[in-house]
Amino acid sequence: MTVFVTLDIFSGRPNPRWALDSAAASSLSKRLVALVTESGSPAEPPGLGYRGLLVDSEDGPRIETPIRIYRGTVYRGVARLADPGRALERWLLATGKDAVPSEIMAALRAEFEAR
Amino acid sequence: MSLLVTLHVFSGRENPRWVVSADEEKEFRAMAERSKLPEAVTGSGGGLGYQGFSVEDTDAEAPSRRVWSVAGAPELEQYLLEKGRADLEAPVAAHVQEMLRAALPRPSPPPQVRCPPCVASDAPVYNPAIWNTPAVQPHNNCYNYANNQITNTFAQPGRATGHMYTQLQCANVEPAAHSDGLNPCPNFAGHLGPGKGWYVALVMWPNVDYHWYRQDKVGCWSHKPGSTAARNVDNSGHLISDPKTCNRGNYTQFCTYMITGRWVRIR
Repeated sequence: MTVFVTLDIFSGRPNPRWALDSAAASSLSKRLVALVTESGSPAEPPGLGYRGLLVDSEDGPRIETPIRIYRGTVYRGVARLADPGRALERWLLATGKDAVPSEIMAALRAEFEAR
Repeated sequence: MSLLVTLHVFSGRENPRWVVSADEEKEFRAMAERSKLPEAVTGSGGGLGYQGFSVEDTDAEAPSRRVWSVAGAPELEQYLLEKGRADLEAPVAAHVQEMLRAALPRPSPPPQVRCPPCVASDAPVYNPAIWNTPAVQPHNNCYNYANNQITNTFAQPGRATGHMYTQLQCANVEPAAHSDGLNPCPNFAGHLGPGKGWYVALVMWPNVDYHWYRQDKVGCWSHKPGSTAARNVDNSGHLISDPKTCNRGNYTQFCTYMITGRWVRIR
């Protein structure tokens, strides 16, 4: 099974998408299991701009899909889980350093620091 | 006593159904009462994709079997989706979730927006249901939507004619679209008779990405950000009377209005 991450950010161009290696996929599974239910009011993604990271998989059910991670909340089916400090979001974005244009990566890191 | 829930989402296949337990039934009835849901007539709307739920009282001994139509009540719809989640295919649940997310109440009511008159006879009708389905939504972008053409190719300006843009700047994307058949129209004013097309607008996140809007028959504008749902509101949740002045997030540069039509070929 291969786990893919999509940076949902563009409108006209195709979004950057990359595969996780087996170590990263395993780490993602463990990180997801450790999350607890979100109790606050999560931010809604805008139409234009950064809308989060999407996780899906092919050839197997190891990770329940679809998963959207956006501004500290993990949407997994109808469940909403908290991602304190956006730690999972930051880590997952970093796994795409070879797929995401450097200027986008820099802009997102700045946004993460600002919020 | 139990309730039978039907998710109205398919056109060809039989809609998913599930039963809610007695405890959940009390919860549902209380929520339905608070939401002042109307009693349903039979059947569902005729659109494509998610249309809502119906909930049917299955008590055979009841004097009359009540049926609720649950649509336009996002919190109750979310509740029903949650109860049936385990029985649904993941793409279907994701589609319904996205539709509900777009419909959830926003923190402040949007201001009244007056739509300008639409002066294009061929302008498309705003009908997001055609676009917001699992088979169409992920594979068609803003350029598909503005040109009102479902190609399932995530169409790119100029690709159909071998003149695809090479830089993400107005001066590069505009001629690429022109090669597909769109015509520049910087002033956006004149009447367009039958067969003359409709107005679209190109905006730019400089050096990063482009985006398109289209003017619908109603006079306001709508758009489809990437693989997300088609919508008629901007990043502030307001109706769009003019893409030049609406909240466009990072797409800060307004390039131009253009005219598209049925003669345009995109890929």
